[in-house]
Amino acid sequence: MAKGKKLWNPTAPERASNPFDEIRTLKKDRYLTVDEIDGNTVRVVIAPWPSVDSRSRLVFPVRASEDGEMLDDPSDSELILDGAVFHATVTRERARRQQPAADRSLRVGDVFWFRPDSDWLAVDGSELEGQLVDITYAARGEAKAAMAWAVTGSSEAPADLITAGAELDDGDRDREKEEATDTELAPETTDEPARPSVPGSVASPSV
Amino acid sequence: MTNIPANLLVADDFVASLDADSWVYFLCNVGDGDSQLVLLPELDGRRKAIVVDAYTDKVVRLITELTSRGVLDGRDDIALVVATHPHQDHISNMPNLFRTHGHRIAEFWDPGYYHPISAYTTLMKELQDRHATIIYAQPTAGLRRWIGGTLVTVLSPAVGLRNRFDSYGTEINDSSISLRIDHPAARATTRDEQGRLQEVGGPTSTLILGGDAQTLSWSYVMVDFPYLPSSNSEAAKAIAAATGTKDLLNTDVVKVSHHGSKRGVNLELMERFSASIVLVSSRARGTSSHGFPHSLTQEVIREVKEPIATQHGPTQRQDDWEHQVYYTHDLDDQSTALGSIAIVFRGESRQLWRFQDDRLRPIDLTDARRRT
Repeated sequence: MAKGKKLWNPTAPERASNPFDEIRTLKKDRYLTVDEIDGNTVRVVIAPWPSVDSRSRLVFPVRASEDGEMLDDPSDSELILDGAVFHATVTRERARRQQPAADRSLRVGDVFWFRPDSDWLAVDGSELEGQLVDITYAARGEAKAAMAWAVTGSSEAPADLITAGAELDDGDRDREKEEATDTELAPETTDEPARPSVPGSVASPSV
Repeated sequence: MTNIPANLLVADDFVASLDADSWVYFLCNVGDGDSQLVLLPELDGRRKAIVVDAYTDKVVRLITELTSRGVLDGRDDIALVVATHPHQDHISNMPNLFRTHGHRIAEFWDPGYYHPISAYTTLMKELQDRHATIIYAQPTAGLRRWIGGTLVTVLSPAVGLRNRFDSYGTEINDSSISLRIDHPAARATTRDEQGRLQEVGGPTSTLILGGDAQTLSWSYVMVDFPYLPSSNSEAAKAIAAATGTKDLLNTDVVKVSHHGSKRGVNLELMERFSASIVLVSSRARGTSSHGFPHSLTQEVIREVKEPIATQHGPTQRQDDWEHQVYYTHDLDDQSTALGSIAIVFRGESRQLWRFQDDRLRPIDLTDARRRT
């Protein structure tokens, strides 16, 4: 990754407070997505915190199978959680951050900023240990915008592929960048893509 | 149930066994996920491939292996890549596929269900960067695409499901693209000396790949691809004239949807498939964090192969392998992992190969064993 890339700072819906007005994202932060719900079992996918490239796109690290060893086992980035315990954690953290609909049910596609308490992502009784913020609004908007840009080949998506409230327009991004540059709450710059610090597994996960 | 006797599988030269008209379906051993490749028959001396999902990087390395052995030539030879749906266990190595072999890919399909996992966002970014060279489509049921002499038909998702994606009104598994692959797509037609049309060529072989489609999606498929028994009604005659009298879901080989989960298939659907060979991609029960394959679904598969539910008295079933039901986690009776599966289609024959790879080891084509 080129030097000076910014880490992503999620946005919040209009008329809702944005926890990231106060939080400065760090390389050790993690991007958690609810990938599958089966009864009381929730599969969560964990990724390094993304940066933003020169075209305002989210960038997660990618490796290519050109030579050498097999790539990491993708199941190492998956956690199987107890749905009730995880929902209680999410409800508590949403309420603490004064996010709307704090107790709404978990859904596939929910996304969370997660800052583990330590370098190891400890899971005790299926409960994640660290800070958690619901960023579903911003993350869904980014995913939808990514699809629209893939369709068009540019960052100018057709209007019918972007619904109101789900996108960042270029003006928003520019303002965000300016604000980030001007305040001490600026997203951290990084030379390296955020990477798991220690390999792990579902049974003993670490990121 | 007992494991496959080791003496039923013999070491053989997989690559040398392929002739120009044969085509191959690979179901990679990746645990609870899907990574698949269809190697099409030669056309003008060249083969092309279709990739369906990429959980681990095993399918990426399989392409490299096939290229190094001269089966693929590395030039515009990945005709189609399909991401059936954007779950982690289906697309986590799609960005890697594009990074490694993107210059060879002609076309990409996904259902258009945006899902904010990192692999999806990254995959879309890779597509955007290759917008000039890769066609991107979001097909729904009924689309038919010919690649050489092979027909790819999209069975799902139905339009009615696709139109609910934007509100997350469709469960993500039900967004899955399910495919039917037929080869040869149609018998060649020619004229005889009197100018009359004549069909020539061999029988068609069929493969159905179920993605992770669940009951709701399959219900639309059963409506959209009907089976109407022959009758003297005008409607039946008209349908028979248009499609022939075969069941539109009947297939030679099926990859069971959703890793053999209890929500993937039901009895009537499996009866419609009536597949000679049934394949399941999953870890062994007891090691799968989702409990795949679910015993309920295994019994459904067995009931279609060996209907005993209405019988009185003892109900001892034959082993799965005796019914040509295979799992990527299969072991032989020496407890050796049988690993990834290949089905070679040649005319009316279908030949099973295994590669002895465990979940995290690449396929080595020289480790191939053929079922006798």
